[in-house]
Amino acid sequence: MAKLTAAELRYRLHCRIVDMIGSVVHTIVPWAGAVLVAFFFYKSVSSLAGRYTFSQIGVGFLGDFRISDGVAYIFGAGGVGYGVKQTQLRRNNVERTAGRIAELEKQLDPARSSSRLTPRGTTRPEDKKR
Amino acid sequence: MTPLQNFSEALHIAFGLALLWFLVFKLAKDYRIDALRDRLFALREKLFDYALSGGVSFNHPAYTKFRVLINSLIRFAHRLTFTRFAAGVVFVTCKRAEVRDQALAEWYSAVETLEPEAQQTLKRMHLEMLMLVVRHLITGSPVMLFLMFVFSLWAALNGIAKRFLEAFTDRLPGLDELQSQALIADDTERRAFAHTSEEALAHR
Repeated sequence: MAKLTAAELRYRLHCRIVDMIGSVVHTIVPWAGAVLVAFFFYKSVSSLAGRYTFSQIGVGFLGDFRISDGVAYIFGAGGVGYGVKQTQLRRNNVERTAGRIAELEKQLDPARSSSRLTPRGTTRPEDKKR
Repeated sequence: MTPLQNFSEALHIAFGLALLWFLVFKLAKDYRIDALRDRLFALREKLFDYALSGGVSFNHPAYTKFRVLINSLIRFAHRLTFTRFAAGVVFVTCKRAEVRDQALAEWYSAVETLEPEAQQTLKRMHLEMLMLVVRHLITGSPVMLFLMFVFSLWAALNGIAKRFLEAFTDRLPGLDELQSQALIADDTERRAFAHTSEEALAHR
């Protein structure tokens, strides 16, 4: 491979810095959201501290649980489950057909380049870490 | 409402927010990355079919380098985010740095050596690729959605609503930077892999 000039190396360093900024922001934002949700939960529980016991809270919560809430949770869980199964089916299909397609294309284009994803079409673990 | 009833409501809301967090930051994020990859794969197939029909040779740099560019974007689709894009634009603006990537510059030069019809086709495919990437950036960022909304209003008022996405893509700065980053990331990985292979062979 061709040797890189100092200017190109500097540019690659700046690309790496940009990538690191992106990684930091995309780690902070979701976890800040999770902390906020946990904080709401904590505040709602702490308002009952010293006034009710856990068993009173548990019974009270279960007693207040409506059928419509249950149906909504089951519907949501069902939707997520459906999506997960469909994704699995698609990845199985990719694993089964991608290799064959690559071989057939190589017969026409021997220098065919690849995206280098995993056989199931997912991000490579080493690409996720960086 | 009694305090216990208030607590039940708050618990439902907290639980709902937790599920929403999982939906947005895990499920929707994974879906968007897969959707972009799927569309880029479709575009790559279109490019392959065009070469197969004789529009461009499989060995021509315009084809090979464009395919490598699409492959780089597919491989690093999980890193194509508005934050990285904005950081790149700000960096280039503040440092007054030139976008330097030999591979991208070589592709532009290679396309110029093609017949006019082939040039048009490849440039159109390149724009299509950029539109897919811009669409991915927009749908993943509230800031970009807002900017797109403002631009859409302007486009509708100017009577070019049908081609607003193409126009937005055309005007958006920093897309060369985005492509360069994908190519560089891919090249870095290939060099690391080549270096590791050489070391393994040397130790045998």
